[in-house]
Amino acid sequence: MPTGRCTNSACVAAKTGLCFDNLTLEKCPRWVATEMAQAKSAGPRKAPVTASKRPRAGAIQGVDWTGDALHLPDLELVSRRSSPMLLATVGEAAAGKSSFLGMLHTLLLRGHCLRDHTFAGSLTLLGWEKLALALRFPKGQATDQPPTPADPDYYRLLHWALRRPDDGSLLDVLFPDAAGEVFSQWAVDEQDINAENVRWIYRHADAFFFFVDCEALAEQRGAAVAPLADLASRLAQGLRGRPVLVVWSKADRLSDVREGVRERMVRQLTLVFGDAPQLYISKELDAQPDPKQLANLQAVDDVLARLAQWRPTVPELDAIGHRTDLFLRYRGR
Amino acid sequence: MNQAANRVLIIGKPGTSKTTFLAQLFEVLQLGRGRLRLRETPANTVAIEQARRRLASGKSTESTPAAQNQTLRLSLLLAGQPLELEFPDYGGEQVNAIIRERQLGPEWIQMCRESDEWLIFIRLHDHEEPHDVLTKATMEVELAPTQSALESAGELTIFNEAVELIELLQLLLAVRELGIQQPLRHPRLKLVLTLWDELGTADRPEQALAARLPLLLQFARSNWIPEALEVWGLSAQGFRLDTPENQDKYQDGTPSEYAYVVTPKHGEQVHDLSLLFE
Repeated sequence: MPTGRCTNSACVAAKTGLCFDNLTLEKCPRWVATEMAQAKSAGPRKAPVTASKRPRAGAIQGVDWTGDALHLPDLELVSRRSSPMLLATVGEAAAGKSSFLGMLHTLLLRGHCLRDHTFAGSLTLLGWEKLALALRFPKGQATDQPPTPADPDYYRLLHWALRRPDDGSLLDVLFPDAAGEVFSQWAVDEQDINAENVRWIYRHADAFFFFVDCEALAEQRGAAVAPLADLASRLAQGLRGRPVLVVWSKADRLSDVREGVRERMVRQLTLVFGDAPQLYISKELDAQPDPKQLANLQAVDDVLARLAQWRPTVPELDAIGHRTDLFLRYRGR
Repeated sequence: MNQAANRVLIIGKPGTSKTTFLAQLFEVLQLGRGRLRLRETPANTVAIEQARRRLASGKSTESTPAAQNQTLRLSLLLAGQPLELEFPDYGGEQVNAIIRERQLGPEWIQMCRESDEWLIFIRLHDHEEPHDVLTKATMEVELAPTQSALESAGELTIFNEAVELIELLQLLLAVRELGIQQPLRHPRLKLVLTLWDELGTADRPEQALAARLPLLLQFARSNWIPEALEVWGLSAQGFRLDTPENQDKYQDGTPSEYAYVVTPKHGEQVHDLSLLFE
């Protein structure tokens, strides 16, 4: 691994050898190789590792990503650049989790924007397109969102690169998507042998969207409340302060939910999540523009804003000049 | 003095009027008008000659056959400064292949790495995007038969236009080994909206792009500094050649005089193709 340091404070290449910007370190303008490293790579014993990996001149060159949703082994494509934010949807089957993701892409394509970030790219454009397909009417015909495969091994990660115009910084965001059936199994049995993917998402997510399916509440009434309350409790169990946003999906059906059922649901949610913020989202067009449709993007805005606040800030150190003790004045250089 | 040329790479999918543009540009060069001069005679101008003959007789150019998709380089002088224009494939079929197969051939790689400026020719088609849940209520739309639902869940073959162009730019950036940690200043990016006369809009080019492919514009603005990003309009033909009056103008006059660009700042139509390369 090349030795040196990167002038970008967010880059961990000195420890990992992987460039923040996916470059070979020798090519990165911010990478400062130490003398020892330069001597090593110039030495006769060993050629730089990266040299052998570089495509030969005249060869066809492909790229590292396929455009489809990512899986765990692909995470390096993102994580070598930054520590991505994992924003997880949690909900039962057919609660609208995949439609929510499809709506995010559809809204961006139609010119709607995030509040504090701009879209700077994606390694999973094809994955986003597949999710948005069921929200389009290509021949004037509607299709249902294909259910996320209930196979316990199935999951996918959708990626966005976002830029904060305020300071120009880049943020990688991943949205894991797994089947609602597996979440339900996990709610009942945390150690369920088939819920490994959900446990991984739960362990690593930075924030959660908890889906309350208004259609299920309207149609199954009280019977829909109990399983959702179980899932909420399971989610709340080991949150360690990570933000949760309660998302009432298919909110176009909210008026069909009986008042008693709704009150019971709200009571349960308050009991578990306290005063967690709530949003009403829908994919159905009700007005132009429809606030419930726009709320899909707002959900991401809200969660990112809370994460930005929640992250501990680095404490300011006293000015060096005031101290006389050499030990306390040492700053690692 | 041996001065390094400004190298411009011109990329566009099929039907983005690259051939018409080239033919008109070549006529400007041969007439010796304006600030552009040929530095060297290009080795191969077959596709342009055919297109020029058609334009001179008042006909639109035909789509370039895939077999003719070879690289064309024009070594020019713009107001005395060297300028290299590179068209890796003026039919545009390879651009489609790059997006779908996700790999670039050796010539592309070299040009992508060495160019100072990328001109992406974009045609905003006159047909609207299909409706989706943001423009039409599901209630107003009939449900597709189950078979077609199954098909739509399968292999995705039709891409959204903005998605395709974003992916193309991401592929070019990756091949050039450029990260987006900081917004880019080099290579400069010009998004050129072609067939401008057919859009029938009074908007500035950037507004037209924002209205039709907003995510592409958002992507470009996120990743290029404002000084390195411009959105231009281009009408290589000036008007449609489907009426006898318009055909007469081309047959009796100088076709290239009708070509114009639309400037990014004020949206002015200027009959000077060289402005695109400043």
